[in-house]
This record gives sequence, C-alpha cells and structure tokens, in this order.
Amino acid sequence: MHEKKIKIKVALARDLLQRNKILAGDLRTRFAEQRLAVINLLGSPGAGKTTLLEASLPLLCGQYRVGVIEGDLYTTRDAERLARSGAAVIQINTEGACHLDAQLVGGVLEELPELDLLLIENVGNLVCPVGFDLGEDARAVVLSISEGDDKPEKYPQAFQTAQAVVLSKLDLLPYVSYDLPAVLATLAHLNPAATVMQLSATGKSGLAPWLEWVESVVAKKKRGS
Amino acid sequence: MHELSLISALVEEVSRDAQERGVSRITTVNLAVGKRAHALPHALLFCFDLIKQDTILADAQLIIEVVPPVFYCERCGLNEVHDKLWANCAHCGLPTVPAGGMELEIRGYEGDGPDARKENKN
Repeated sequence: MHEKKIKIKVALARDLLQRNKILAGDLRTRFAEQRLAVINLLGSPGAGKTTLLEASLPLLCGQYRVGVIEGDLYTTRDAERLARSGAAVIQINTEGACHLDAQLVGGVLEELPELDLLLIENVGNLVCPVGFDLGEDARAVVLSISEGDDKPEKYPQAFQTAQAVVLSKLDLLPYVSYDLPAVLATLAHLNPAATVMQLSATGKSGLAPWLEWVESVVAKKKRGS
Repeated sequence: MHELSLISALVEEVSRDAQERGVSRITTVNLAVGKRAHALPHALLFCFDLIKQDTILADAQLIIEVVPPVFYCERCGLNEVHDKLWANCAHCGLPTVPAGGMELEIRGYEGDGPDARKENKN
C-alpha cells in the first residue's frame, strides 16, 4: 500500500537566538539576586582588553571582591596574566568558537566565589559576540588607536549595543594617522548615550574615568536598580 | 563566523517542532536574515547543507529572505529604509533609531504531515 502524505505548512516566527536569550535571562535573575554587577568587555584581538584589566584589577580589588571570566579560543595566557592581580580568574576556552554565550558563562559560575563585580572578557572579535547576551549589566567596547579610525563605522552594532566605549592606546596617537575628532563624532551618532573614555593602560593615564564608570555600574547594582 | 552555531540552532528548533507535530519529512525552511544581523546568507546555506544531513531536514531547502535595515523616527512615528549607518528623519530632522534589519527569525517550514493512513483506514 502506498502511504498517502499530507502536506503541512507551519508558521513559526521564532528567533534563532531565542535559546541564548532565555539562558541570559536566567543569568540576569541570578546576578540580580546576588547583587553582582557584570560587565561584558568586547573588542578586537589586540585592542587592549586584557591590558586594561591588568591595569584596573589591582585598583578594583582594593574596593571589591572581583572575578574575571576570560574568553579565549585555545590558550590560558590571559588568565595567567590576570591571576597575579588577586582577582578570581576563570578561563573559558571556546575551542575555536568566536564568542561566549550564556550557556558557557552559566557553566563556570559555580567555580567563582561570592563577588561584587564580575568582568567578562569576551573573545577578541567585534562581530559575533554582539548578538549573544550574557546577562550583563553593561557592555564596554575597547577600541585601540592602532586599529584605525574606521572601525566604529565598519562594526556599528558593537558600538550601538554598548554602554561604554574605551579608546585605548591613546599614547600612540602622535605616531599614527588617526582622526580622533571624526571617531568621536561617529560614536556620538551611533550611540549618543554611551560613555566614551580615552586612556592608555600601559601609560596608566586616563584610568580614573574608566574606574569611575565601573564603580557606577557596581553602585547601581548594589542599590538594586 | 558563527553561522554554524546559528544553523545548528535552526535545525534543532525545526526538528523539535516537527517531531511534536508528527511531521516526517521537511521540504523547505524559511528564514529571515536582517542585512545587519552579522550573518552571511551564503555561509548560512553552506552550513545548512552540512548540518541537515541525517536529520529530518535532510531533503529540505533553506529559503533566506534578506530584510533591509529600517530606521524609525520616534517623533514622527515613521519608518525609513536605507543602507546608511544612520540618518536624520527626512521630515523633522531628528536622529532616527535602528528598528529593523537585525532579524534572525525562522518564519516557518513545509513538509509531509502526519502519516495519512491513520485518517484513511480502508
């Protein structure tokens, strides 16, 4: 007997990133219960994310119980650099994946002690991490002078979804062709609400506004808002 | 390059839904991809052909609809479609906000429904 099949047409309207959004919502509830402030740090490879953390952690660890989740494709180099600071550092190796997701972050939380501030250094990439919510309170993008002044226009979404933009390696400005006013104007168009900071982490200059911004994120979370 | 994980999510989601409905074979899947969704249609198609094998979607064709970027003026309540990064409202001159073109949405699928024998016992 020949089987008679009925044709079926199903309308779904389902978001492909839905699963991550649900998991990120769970993380956000968990972080709220713990009054734990979480910052997701984005930037290209070599933008200076780890160097910024290296310069900030000794100062932040004096005030808060700080944890760091280090996203990296294969190595533990960054985690080793940061462990010296006194922060609780956990490495996630994504084994080639280009971004962290809520499931990966949720999987390592048990390994962290009780904290006031959790800094998540995402995989160096201005594209893929943008779509993956990690349950964070704020997103900061690190953009170095040496990357060139066209990056905000080339990767607008990273900048549009951030609450803060850190222009790093400012000490290199005299040596490279870089239109700083144009970058600031582009950022103001893309995301007028973002806090834009300029600093040099190795030169230890301009760190104060960045630290104040981090403190404001922690203070807001402590107040429960 | 996260097209592979996006397509894995698509195949997982559609398979699960199809199993719940008793669908035995899927012929087409419709996916909306925003022009600013950071996902390349040709890479999605390439990954789909890899991932669909040995699943209920093995014979399925992926049909991608590219959704253009839309900008919304909060003051005028008007949408404008253009390829610029940003633009001020053509009517009132105030900055517009991105309101579309970021979609990654499974619109639906077609396939062979539940075995008809149950309905036509003869």
